[in-house]
Amino acid sequence: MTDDDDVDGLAAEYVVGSLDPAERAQVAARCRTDVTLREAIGDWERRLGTLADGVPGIEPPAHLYSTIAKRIWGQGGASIERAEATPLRRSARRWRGLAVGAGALAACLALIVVWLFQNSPGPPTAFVAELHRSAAGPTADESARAAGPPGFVVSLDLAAHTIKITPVTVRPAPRRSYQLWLTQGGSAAPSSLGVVSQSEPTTWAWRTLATPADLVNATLSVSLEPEGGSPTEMPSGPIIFIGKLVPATP
Amino acid sequence: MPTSKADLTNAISRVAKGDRSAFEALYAATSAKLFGVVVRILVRRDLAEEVLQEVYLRVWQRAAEYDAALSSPITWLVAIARNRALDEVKRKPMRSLEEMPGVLEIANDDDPLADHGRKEEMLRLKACLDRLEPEKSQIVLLAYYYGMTREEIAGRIKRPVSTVKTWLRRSLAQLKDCLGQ
Repeated sequence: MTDDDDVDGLAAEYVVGSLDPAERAQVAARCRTDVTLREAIGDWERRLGTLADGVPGIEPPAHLYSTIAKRIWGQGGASIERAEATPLRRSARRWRGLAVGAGALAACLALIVVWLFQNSPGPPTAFVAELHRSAAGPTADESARAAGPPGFVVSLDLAAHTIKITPVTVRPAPRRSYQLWLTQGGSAAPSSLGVVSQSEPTTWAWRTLATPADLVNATLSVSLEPEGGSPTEMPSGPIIFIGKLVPATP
Repeated sequence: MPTSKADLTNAISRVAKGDRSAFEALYAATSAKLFGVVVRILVRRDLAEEVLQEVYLRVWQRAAEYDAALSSPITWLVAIARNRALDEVKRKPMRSLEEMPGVLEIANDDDPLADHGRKEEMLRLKACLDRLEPEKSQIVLLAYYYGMTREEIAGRIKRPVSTVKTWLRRSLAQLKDCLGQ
C-alpha cells in the first residue's frame, strides 16, 4: 500500500488515523526519504488540526506531572545539578579553548580524549565527538575515521546542560539544512538534536534523557535535510557525517 | 497559566531553552486537552497516562523544532499526542468497539485554547464536513477521534474494507477541495 500513487490520500489517511499498524509503520519509514509525502502529512495535520479543539479536556491525575518531571530531571533535580557545576565549568572552559582551533586540533582530539578519560575518576560529565564523512550509510566504523579531518566537532557538557557543534571542513549546502541526531544503543531510533548552522558553532540546551553510561559510544550523525530540517521524527535525507561520543571529563 | 496562542508559543520557545517553569506552565495549560484527545483514542486510562507522559517528554526534547510559522502551538501539541496515541492503539488492539458512541458529532466543547481565528477555522472545517454525506463524514470522524482503522470502520458500518478505503480517500479529497488549501 505504501507504493500507493495517491500520496496525498495516503498522507490524509495517516493523519486521520485509519491506516493499520503495518501501513502506518511503512508510511513513517517512507517519510524519511519522500519529501512530498512528508509535506503532505504536515499539510493534513494543519488542515484537520482544529477537529481536536472541541474534544472535552480530561484532567490527568495530579501525580502525573511529578512523574514526568522525574523522568526528565531525575529524583534529585536541581540539587544534583548544583553539585556537579564546578568541575564541569572547568571542563567546559578547556573545551572552549580546544574548539577555537577546531580544524587544526581535530586530528589529535582522539588522543587528548583518551588521555582525559584515562585520568578521570567517576562517571564522565563531558563528551566530545568528531563527525567524519559517512561513506556507507549510518554506521560509525573505523574506515570513516581515516577519511581526513572531521566535518563537525561536537562537545557535550552534562552539567552545563549544553551541547555544541562546530563546523570544521563542512561545505555550505544552499537551501538545505544539516541536522544533528543522537542514537543511543544499537537498535534505538535516532532523536533529533536540532538543525545545525553551516558556518558557525551552534549551542543548544541539552535535554536528552540519558545517563553518562548511556552516552559512552552513543552515535551522533548529521543528515542533509530540506531547508529547516526533517519534517518527521527521523532523518529524511542521507546521513553524511557520523561519529561516536567519547568521555572528556578530567 | 498561558492559554492564548501567543502565550503558548512563548512558553514553547522558553521550553526550548530549557526553562522548567515554562514547561510546567505549558503542562498546566495543555495537559487536560491532550489527555482528552489521547483518552478518546486509547480508552484505557492506564495506557493514556503512559502515553501522556511520553508526549510531554517529547515536547521537552523537541520544543526547539516547533516552528510558529508552520502551525499553531496547539496543532503541534495535538499532532504529537495523536501520533503517539495512534502508534500505541495500533500496537495493542485492546479497545472494545462497543465502547464507541453510536452517532458521532464533531466535538464542540468551548475550547479555552482556541482563539477567535481558530474557532472560525474550525467552523469552516465543520461546514465542509457537513457537505459530505452523513455516513461518509461519520467514517472520517471515527478515524480521527478514535483512531479506528479501515477494517474496524468496515466492521462497524457493515461495508467492505475496500469501500471504506474508497470513501475515506474521496471524502478527504473533497474536504481538501472545500477548504481550498
